[in-house]
Amino acid sequence: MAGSGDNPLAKIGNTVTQSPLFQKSKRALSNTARFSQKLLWSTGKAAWIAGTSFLVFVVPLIIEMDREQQMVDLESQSAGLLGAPPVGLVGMLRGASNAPLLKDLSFYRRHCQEDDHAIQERIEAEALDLRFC
Amino acid sequence: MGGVISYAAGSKKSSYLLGDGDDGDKNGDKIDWLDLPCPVKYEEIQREALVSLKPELFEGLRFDFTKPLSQKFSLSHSVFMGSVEVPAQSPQTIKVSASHYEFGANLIDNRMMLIGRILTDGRMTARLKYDLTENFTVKVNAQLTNEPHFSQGMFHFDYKGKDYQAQVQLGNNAFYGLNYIQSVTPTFALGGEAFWLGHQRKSGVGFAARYNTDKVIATGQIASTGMVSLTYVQRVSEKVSLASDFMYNWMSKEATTSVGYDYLLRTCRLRGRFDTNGCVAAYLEERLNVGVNFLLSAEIDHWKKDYKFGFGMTVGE
Repeated sequence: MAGSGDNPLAKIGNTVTQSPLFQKSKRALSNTARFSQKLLWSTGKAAWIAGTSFLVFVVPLIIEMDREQQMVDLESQSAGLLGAPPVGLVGMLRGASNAPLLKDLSFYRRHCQEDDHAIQERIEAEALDLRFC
Repeated sequence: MGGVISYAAGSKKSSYLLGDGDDGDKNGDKIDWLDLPCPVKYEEIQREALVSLKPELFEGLRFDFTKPLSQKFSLSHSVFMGSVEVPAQSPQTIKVSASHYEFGANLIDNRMMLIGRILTDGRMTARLKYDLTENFTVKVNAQLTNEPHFSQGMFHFDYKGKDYQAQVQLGNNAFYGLNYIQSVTPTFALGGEAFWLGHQRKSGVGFAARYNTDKVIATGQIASTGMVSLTYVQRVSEKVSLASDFMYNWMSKEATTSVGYDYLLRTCRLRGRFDTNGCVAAYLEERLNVGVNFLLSAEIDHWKKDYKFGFGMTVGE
């Protein structure tokens, strides 16, 4: 039985491995493996692009908006605590802490004016580039 | 600060930026066709979109110091150390480390603005803007470089009429340019330009249109050099504005769109943008103290895998 076991086993093995169904399923499996590897790779790339873009585009915005909100809350809280704007010495001291608003206005105005000559240079440089392309 | 050139040429522009809600011609239904507002200069048609979408991104360290010596005169020192891109024919970007120190002087008066800069790599720039009368302005730019044939000089003569602006440009290399913009309705302005470049025998014609209300600025520009450019800026609130820009070159059949935001908060200004070229960029200017600003610049180009990050400080008013 042991001696004659080779031939029937080999024959069965051959029938299985050379049957069209087996070949098809082997091809399908390798295709699936390749496809899923590509899908994983593409998902990885997409996740990387999405993650780094989110980090650069959105995270500073969230941080700054949060800070702005904190400042607004702090000011509304201090305004609520002190009530009506006081006069006299206390008013002068209070006025000193109002200075941030004036400084903010100059920052705001400065950025509205945005360094006119630098902008002019860029506008002219762009105009020249566009003409001489 | 009163001596600085007024940013807003027309009342509509200043109300856009400083947050006034009133629109002058909402009061009446009749438009006075003889009393239209003065439009912005032709070269500044797309200025809001340019400012919001294209901050000066850099890679490396930047330090600027401005010292006012008197009310009108100030000196500026500026250091830059970092990588600069060298334009190359291959798609691979070539970066070269470069550093320079720039010394400058500014004289800003009610009628005159004079700015000079000199760099350690041998470039010198000078700009003059002089208001001869209330309506007539002369501007002169000059740039001298070490490399031969790269120096340039340009004269601009601007005339501001009641509801139009005209400009004549003369430059070296036999450059002659002319542009004109006219307000057609209280919110709409049309303009055109023509230029001629003698040395290369190139000439071109262009047209531009600008629609400008309190909340919306939309412009379109088309030139015979093959460039079509449309921009749209929407002011969502007094702190936030969104901008988008479409550029198409019909000669080389390339189109680019970019969308960005511009947040002007109390202590910072943050501009972010993303592009159809696969670029994402952000630029932050944060006020740490009176006159001290901290800059952060980031640009990620996913397509070319080019990453640029920079930081800097600006000291002085």
